[in-house]
Amino acid sequence: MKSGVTAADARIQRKLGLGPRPNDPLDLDLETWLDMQLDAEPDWRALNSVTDMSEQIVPWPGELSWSREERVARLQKLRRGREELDASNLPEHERGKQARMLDRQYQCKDMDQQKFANGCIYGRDQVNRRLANFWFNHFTVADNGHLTVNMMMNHYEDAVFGMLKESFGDMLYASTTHLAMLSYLDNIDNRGENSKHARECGCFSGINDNLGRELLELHSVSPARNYVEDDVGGAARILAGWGWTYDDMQFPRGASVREPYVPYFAEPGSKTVLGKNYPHGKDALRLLTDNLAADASTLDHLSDKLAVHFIGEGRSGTEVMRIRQAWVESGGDLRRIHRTALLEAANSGEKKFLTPMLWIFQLSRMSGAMVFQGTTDDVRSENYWQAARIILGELAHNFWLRRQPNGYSDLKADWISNEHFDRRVRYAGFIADRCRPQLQADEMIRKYGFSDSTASLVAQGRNRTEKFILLACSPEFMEV
Amino acid sequence: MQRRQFLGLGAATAALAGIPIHGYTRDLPAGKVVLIILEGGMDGLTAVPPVGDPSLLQQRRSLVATNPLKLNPFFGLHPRLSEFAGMLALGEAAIVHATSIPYVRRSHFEGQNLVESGIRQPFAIKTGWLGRALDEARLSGRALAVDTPLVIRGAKAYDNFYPSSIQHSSAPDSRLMGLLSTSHEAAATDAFHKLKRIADSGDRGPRVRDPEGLAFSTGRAMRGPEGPSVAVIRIPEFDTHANQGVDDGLHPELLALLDRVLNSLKTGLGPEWKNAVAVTATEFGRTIQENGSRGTEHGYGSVGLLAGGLLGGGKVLANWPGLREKDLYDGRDLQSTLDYRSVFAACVEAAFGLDHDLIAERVFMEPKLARTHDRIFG
Amino acid sequence: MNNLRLSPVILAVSLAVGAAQADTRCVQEFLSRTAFDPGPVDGLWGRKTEGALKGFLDQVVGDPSYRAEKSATAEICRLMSGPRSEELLSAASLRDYYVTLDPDSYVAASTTAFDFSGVDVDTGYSGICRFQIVRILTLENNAFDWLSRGTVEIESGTLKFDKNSHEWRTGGLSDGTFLAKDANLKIDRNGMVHGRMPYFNYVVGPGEAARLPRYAELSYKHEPGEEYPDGTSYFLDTGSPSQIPFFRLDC
Repeated sequence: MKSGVTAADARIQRKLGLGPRPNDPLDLDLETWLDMQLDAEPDWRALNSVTDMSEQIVPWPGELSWSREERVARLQKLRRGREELDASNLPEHERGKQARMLDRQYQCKDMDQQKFANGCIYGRDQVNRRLANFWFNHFTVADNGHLTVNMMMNHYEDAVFGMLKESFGDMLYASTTHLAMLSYLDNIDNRGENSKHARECGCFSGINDNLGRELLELHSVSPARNYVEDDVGGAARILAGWGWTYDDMQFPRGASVREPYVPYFAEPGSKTVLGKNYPHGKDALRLLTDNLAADASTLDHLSDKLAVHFIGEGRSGTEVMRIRQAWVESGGDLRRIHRTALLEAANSGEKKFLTPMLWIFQLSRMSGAMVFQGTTDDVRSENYWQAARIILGELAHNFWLRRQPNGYSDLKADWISNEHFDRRVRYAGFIADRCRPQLQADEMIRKYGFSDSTASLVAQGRNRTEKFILLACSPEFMEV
Repeated sequence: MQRRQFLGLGAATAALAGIPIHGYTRDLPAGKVVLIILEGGMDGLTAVPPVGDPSLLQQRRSLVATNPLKLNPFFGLHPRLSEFAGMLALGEAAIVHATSIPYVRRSHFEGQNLVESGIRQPFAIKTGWLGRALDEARLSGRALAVDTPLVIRGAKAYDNFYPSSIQHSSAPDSRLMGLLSTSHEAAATDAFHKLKRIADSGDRGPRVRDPEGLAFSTGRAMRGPEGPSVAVIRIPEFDTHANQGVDDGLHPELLALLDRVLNSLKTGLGPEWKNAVAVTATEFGRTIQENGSRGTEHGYGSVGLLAGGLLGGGKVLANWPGLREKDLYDGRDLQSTLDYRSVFAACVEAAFGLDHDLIAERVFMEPKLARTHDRIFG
Repeated sequence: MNNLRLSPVILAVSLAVGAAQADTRCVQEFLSRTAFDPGPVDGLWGRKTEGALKGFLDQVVGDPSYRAEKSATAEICRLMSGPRSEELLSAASLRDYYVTLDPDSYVAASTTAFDFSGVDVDTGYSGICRFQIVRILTLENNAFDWLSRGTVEIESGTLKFDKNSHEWRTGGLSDGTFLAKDANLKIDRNGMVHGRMPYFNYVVGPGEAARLPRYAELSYKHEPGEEYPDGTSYFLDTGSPSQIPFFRLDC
């Protein structure tokens, strides 16, 4: 498709990505820029420290990145440490203190949030990050205990970011079988009523349909598919046996962190979902996710969801159809689907209201301010209020918060309120005063080509801070 | 395993709406309604177990608290609801059992939408039943969660209440808020305008935001005839698929939290408690039987708790459907024998003095909605 | 029909029985559509029907002239099928299971109510002391952080927090109104303090939201290895073992 818009200027970068940084070029050809962005490899960079007067951008340190296996090993150490502590004779408060030290030593979640935020601000792959964040919200995993919250970042990196160039079916399967998801939606407790486990040990076994239900309702076909309880049950029975908890020090036979399928807990026999039969065994799940990924209702549901996210709530039926068309023609190839959706967004006159996370990432990038703590900052004490978990939590838009599996809303009405705006005003002022922006409001207006009406609004500010707040909260900055 | 930490439960929110307009609403009763949304699906059979029903122990022995408070020969109350028990004893609380909104598809998101919209079709309407009730009672003037819950959205937009906590930040400046308000449109204009109004009022009242604190502040803010008429408090995490807990644990902790929220609300409302009714709502109950992970799945019928001085005497109201296999909905859930919107309607009638037929038709769009006002408040 | 010979007496009796059964059935039919379950709709008067009817009359009709008796079923059936039928049906969609809890055992206690009956309050004592609320971080190096501090005025044995003192600072709601208003503390003849008080387990920085206080009973802490060198320390019994706040008084 030939686009009417030709240059990847600041507005386009904000609409399709996370916004330009002060030194990014603003005159590249749109499609050239877009292809470069879509082909980019994950670019994990970060600030060194918010207290460092000169902004130093460094690669995210390897010792603060953990693979799936390393995460599980850390959780096991944490668990063992806690067990030893519980068995010790230390006084209560001393135990509490040591438990906190264990947490700091082995928990991954705080650093994960730093890595996530820094990547979004300093990464040169802003479009893929925007896309990864979209899918991370679609496949919601959130804090519901140690296992999930400490595996989440790996879900982001492996099941979402790592799948952007694969098919939707690949992503759906990768996400469904990831320990973070299996644990978040309780599938680690989903055990077949007639499983070997149930028969042999007479233990309490039963289906937990949480993941099976959300797989249909949220992740793929949506309720528009008119499935019934039996379909949910079928999906749950296919999922029985997927998942494993780290309290067992050994991997159960046949399972690995990457493929945590435990036949011992699986429900024997064939299952039926949406009129299709699935055989017994591990492979049934891949068949199921592939069928769901290719279902017409999934294409309808997700083409529209992408359109709302990038184009806006006023997306047209034609725009959605063209995204769906790309889906059909490419057989669910995400890069092609994304490219189509993004070009539709670039050429649309519709506006999308920036959710708080998008807003603060764009404000941080475009102003060049040092908002989020860096790799050497202490997330629990020194400047803790600049930790990613605090800032995104305060904005009520943090993937790591406890929340429900339908993810954050993309609708404007859900993010407009005096309390939401109170936070934006406060953070804009905070960034202007304390985070050393490289570009002040006037400079951003000139560099990024904000409109005259925004310029005249900002001109009414009586000092740098006021001008910064007025720009950050102007209609043109909040909606693009 | 993975016992959840409740200190971290910061996601509870509160919102206020419906400040009377002078010379407009003088003749109507000045009652207050507080809706407490229990998100995730509360297990009504755990909160208020029908201990007199012989099938209870057969169906879910493992989920009944060891020592439920005995309300009467038929119904017990979970011991973690002790403050609420006190309200029942004093005649300022009521329970409605075997009830649900008319929704049986067991999806949180559709169910939560319907709890707030008050109609039958999910996502079909952009206003909520309390918002429409305020419109009918002409209480939809200006008002005071980070979000504006659907349930109070009516003809006008409302403020909300969940104070920010941003170290080294400054409160919004009145002049800037005025500038932003005029540069934006529609709802965004309103939101900035409200910030300007707050800045102008110089109100630096307590900014507290744990669930009990929110309930306390909410109650305090509602005091007096000038105070907002409705509030919504949201308590998440009732979706207990695993390790639900019986005497202790997840669900009992949540009941205890609800108990403290009701108590804080009562303290906050002070003298206004006598004109108030707090009513819980949840999108569905939970399955009658335990699942394989010591939790329960999404069900149908549940229980509603009401508290406040508007209520007339402690009681449990129900058209009890029974718990034998043949009595259950779909063979697995407590049947609902009462459209819970009837209870909402009774609260609106009691607080705002609106005619039931009007509430049924204009607020719930269900002309035949049963009137339960006299049974609950009589 | 012409050949039928029935004694008029027998006819009258069977008609009466038939009518009574029909009235019972009418009542049962109505009740079976309500929350007052009469058992099977069989026209037979029994305990279940009587109980359901009694509940219905008490809770819904509320007119003592209607009695839950078999002989009244004709009249009640007329009521049930009369103009009030719909209204009664709707009102009877719920049954009231009266709560029989004893209100006396649920007298609402204030957050700082305390029984001083066993305490020999030193009503003659007045003076000014400094207070701190501290939280113990570790016993090893005696490290703690303070949560609130300021001045306490003792008047006739009753402690009052003086929020106007220049060094006053509290966490939580930073104006400390709760401490000034809610504390219920008295000093005894041995110089020991008793009672209940609010305390704040957070210090709140500028721009941050406050928290409500917790309430705790004061108990004197005197265990080997857990004494503090300066002033008198009281353990604040919060019911939470992970936080051990102390109230410390220097007079």
